[in-house]
Amino acid sequence: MVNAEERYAVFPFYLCLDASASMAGTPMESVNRQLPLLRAAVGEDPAVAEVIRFGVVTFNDVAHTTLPLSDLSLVEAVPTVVAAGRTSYAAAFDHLRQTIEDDYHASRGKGDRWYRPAVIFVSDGRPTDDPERWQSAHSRLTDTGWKRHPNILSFGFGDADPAVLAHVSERKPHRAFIAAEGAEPATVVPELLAGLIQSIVSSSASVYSGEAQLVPPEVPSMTPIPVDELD
Amino acid sequence: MTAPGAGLPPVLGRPSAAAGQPAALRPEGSAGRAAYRADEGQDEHWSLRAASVAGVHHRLAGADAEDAYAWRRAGESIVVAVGDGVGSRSGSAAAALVAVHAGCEAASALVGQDAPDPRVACEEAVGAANRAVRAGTGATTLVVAVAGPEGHCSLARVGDSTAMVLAAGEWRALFPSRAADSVSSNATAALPADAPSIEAAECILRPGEALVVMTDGIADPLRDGPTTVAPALAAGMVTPPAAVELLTLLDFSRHGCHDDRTIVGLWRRRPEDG
Repeated sequence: MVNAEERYAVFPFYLCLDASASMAGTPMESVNRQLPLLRAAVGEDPAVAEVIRFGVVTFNDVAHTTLPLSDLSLVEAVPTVVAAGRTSYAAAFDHLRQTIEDDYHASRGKGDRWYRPAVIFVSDGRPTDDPERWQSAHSRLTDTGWKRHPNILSFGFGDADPAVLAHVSERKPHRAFIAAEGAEPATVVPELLAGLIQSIVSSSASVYSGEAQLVPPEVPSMTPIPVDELD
Repeated sequence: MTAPGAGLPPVLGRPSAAAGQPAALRPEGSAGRAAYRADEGQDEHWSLRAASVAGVHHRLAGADAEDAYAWRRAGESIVVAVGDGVGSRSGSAAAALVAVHAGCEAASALVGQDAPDPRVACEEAVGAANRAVRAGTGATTLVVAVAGPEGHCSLARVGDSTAMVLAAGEWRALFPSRAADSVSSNATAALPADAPSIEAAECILRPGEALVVMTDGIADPLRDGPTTVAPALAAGMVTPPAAVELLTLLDFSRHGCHDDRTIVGLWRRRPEDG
């Protein structure tokens, strides 16, 4: 055996949440009410709790790490999120790339072995930065030459653009979802958060089933964005 | 390694809180679906030990294990197979069991013929298992090994179940594992498949050495625990342990290691073993 370091498997999840001004009110209140429920859901399955790592990145004009990647059993309270400002997807993607890279090295130093990280991207709007800028940041995040490139699930409601979300999820099937037209955020957001919690727990449990995978959530008021087939 | 109490599973590395919790009572049970299974035996050439424990995740959820093992003697040779049902599909515990039996049956039939080529026997075993698994709804990994009386072993596998040689207290992998610096792959090859991705391996066992076939529930912690799991298992298997001892050892506690664990060891006997 060549390797001489002890390793412990972890499955990192990053919630990348749009915290622009349009999320103020019901959507953000719902997020702040439901995010702590993830801790309780994970706590119900102690085997799964040992493998999940969860972090929250929020973005508007800039991006912040609201909850550093954590073992949820050690988190006393999930910080609340305040909505303000515009919707810079570029800031979100650049911050994610740097955060994942930094977290990976810190985590490896502590003896963790990573499953490919998952990013859960949630937005109610279109990017306010110019397309070239956010697409270039997205390319850096999803560059397959970068070993840590994450799998991305994306979810949109309100003014979110299905074509943009499909791009965010690299046009992979069943990775991008959009709320039904006219659906109220007051309905969509609680369902989405509940679905995401289940998705994170199910994905982490799959580590113990011989086929670790990112399990998409079931959100009744959202539908998968179809992905074109190439010739 | 934390010294175990009498008959208790050891703690190997960072302890697991989940591993200490009581198992849920499953809705139904039977000897064939036991959460703890073990076996042992020896003939002129080989000592065999097998052990399989349901993972902590399955035990706490009140679910059956999805690993399986089988062996079949074929003249002076022996065929060993291990399978790991892919848990995201229903019927995968059955698929693993069907695959290991079909694989052993097909390989032993060929090995018993006049001009046996163990490499061909292994590939045919995977083919037979693939056909057998198609009748059900589940999916499984499979490793098949054919061991001859002179210590020559041929193996074939589909998926991430694997095999190692235990020689002089050291583990030697017979199949490649993931790259050391990469993020773990999230995909496992499995049967059934239209064109199974078969990997082959060979080794020669000297007397006293063991071929150890295992599912990833034990292979992963063995690779990830080079100063805990690997030496503890090597020490416990330097000579064939009693089946119940192997079962207890296999049930070690380790943080985040809660998949089903199955291991089959085949020691080539030494003249002094009697």
